[in-house]
Amino acid sequence: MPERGNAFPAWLALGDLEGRERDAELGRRARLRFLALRPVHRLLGQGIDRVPVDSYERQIEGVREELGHLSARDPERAHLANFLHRIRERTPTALVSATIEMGEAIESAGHYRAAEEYYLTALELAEMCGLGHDQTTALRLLGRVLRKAARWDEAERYYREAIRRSEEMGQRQQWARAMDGLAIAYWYQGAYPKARGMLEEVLKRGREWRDDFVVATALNSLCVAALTAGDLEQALEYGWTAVRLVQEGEEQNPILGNLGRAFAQLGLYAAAEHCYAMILARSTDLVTRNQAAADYALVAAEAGNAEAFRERRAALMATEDQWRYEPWSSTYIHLHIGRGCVLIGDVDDAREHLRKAIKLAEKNRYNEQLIRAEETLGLLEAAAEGIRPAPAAVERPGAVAVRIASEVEAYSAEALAPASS
Amino acid sequence: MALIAALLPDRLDREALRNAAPPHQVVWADSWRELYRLVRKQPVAAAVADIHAEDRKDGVLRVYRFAQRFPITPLIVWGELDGRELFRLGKAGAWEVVPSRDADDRYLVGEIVRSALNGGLAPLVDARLRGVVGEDGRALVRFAAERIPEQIQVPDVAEAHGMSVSTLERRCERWGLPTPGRLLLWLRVLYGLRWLLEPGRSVESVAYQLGYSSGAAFRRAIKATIGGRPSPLRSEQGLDRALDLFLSECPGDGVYQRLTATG
Repeated sequence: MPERGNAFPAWLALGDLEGRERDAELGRRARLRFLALRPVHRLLGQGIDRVPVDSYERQIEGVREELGHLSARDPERAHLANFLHRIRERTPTALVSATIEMGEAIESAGHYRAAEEYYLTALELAEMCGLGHDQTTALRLLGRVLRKAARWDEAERYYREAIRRSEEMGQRQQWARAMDGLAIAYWYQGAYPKARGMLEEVLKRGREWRDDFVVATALNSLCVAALTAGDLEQALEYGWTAVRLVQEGEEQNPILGNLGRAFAQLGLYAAAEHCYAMILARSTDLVTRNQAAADYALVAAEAGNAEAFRERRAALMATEDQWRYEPWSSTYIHLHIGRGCVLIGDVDDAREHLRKAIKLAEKNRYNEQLIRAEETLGLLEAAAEGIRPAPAAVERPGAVAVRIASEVEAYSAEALAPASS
Repeated sequence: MALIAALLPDRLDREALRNAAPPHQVVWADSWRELYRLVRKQPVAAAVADIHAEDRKDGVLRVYRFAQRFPITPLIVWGELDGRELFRLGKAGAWEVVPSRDADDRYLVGEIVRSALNGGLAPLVDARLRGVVGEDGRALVRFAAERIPEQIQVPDVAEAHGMSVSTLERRCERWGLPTPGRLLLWLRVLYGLRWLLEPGRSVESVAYQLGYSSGAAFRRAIKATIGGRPSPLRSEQGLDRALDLFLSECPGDGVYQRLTATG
């Protein structure tokens, strides 16, 4: 791959084709991402005021006309249409925020090179126009996408720069997010004490500042850390405290998802179901909803409730058109539904879902999901040959977990109750 | 005025480039082989090619070979390009692309052609002057460096900055730059030396590209600035040495240096 500076503008938006050049569907998608970003690069190269409005509008219109190459139900088509609409405004703030949001949509589809290009373009624009807050956001998102791509050194460099600048500008929430992101990067690399130290510093400062968002950010990551380390009760304590510190709504959802996983591992399936049900009832984000729907179905199978699992699976499959074009969600759903089918003994369905998950994970290089799907399919095939794996150990919940479970159930009943007249 | 070599079989594409290229001149090739020949023999500053110009030939591979042979000559690729081709073109070393649907927008194509013609020298010189010459002085040098292919003269620079030639001379002195005439002479020489890094380029071809009447005139310009012959300068180190000598004639803006030192 040539360095970004040695290739033509926006070329990196095509970078996810590396090793997948013959994937025609990805080729169409990558081309549209490239073409959509070109007008922004043009403003960046020439100066916003120097590009004639007619020519700029015409360039955007040309890309908009080509959006028909994506299916009408493909969420990326709507994202691109919205992006093209917003960049017509040609104000620095609109350009930068639209570019960042499009980058996030691409990142959520697991296409990290294209997302990196969008974030780098947003960073350059923000630097050119002196938008300090957006610079920090772009730096932090670059750290995040490079962390996901396991490019640790580069991720650390961007995170450190985001931390330095947000500290200088007094952006406490940005600072907390960047510190949190860097801590996760350290965690993934196995530097647990370093990661924990950073999260504890965020927690300490958040408490000093009496900033609930900062405290909740640290607690959520400490929850994930405890979950990964198998300290489930500690994970519940961190997560439950965090849920009550952030505003009800989208910000709560990832924390509730983590709580759900901890409850399920402790065998507290009803509490796990409440967590996923809250996400499903309140989230408007498609990826979050899809993930929660798959978790919601799986937890029924884990609880041994085959009937509920089959109902939830059927409901999810009935809405397949809503998630089949989003590769990450699609892989996640097939993997989790496949695991659920294994648990309740629907062997043929399980095989079909797991094979689809493997195919998607291979195609999109979702290594973690690929390993888990192959492992589950392997166990299924072994079971078919009469080799029975040992049942997964479920920890006995302690008093703390039971208390939090009952609090979550009460909280959920209140949160999901219809508003009284 | 710069010379652009183009391989565009389609009549409408030729017309589109012709509309967008002025004030630069376009020479036409009818095959990749002819395009290579034009770039080698003539003072071509940039090339444009439709990757589907020749049937049954891999256009991207042709672009790769062009970029290997002429690493300093920017090649703009034109045509109906799918995602895979665009990806491969970036790897092959294409300078820029003009997707077919943008081809009849002369502003857009004009911008791309200008960026190809201006891309090389201006950023190189600007990087050397940073920390020595202030922002105003550097903006002037960038402006002039970007217009060397257009054979810009001192009165043009003055007019573009809304001042008389004598005011421009005073400004250059204040900003710690050589006189405008000397600055343009230096930039022409540096531009030419950069082109000479490309294998197969003759001193004569580069001289014509810069508006000199002969290779001898360009050699005299080199002697008047660097003080030697061009041949020993045909290397990265030679160009580096020339940039150092240019820098030694730019004492810079004292105020800017003081600010930098204290800031």
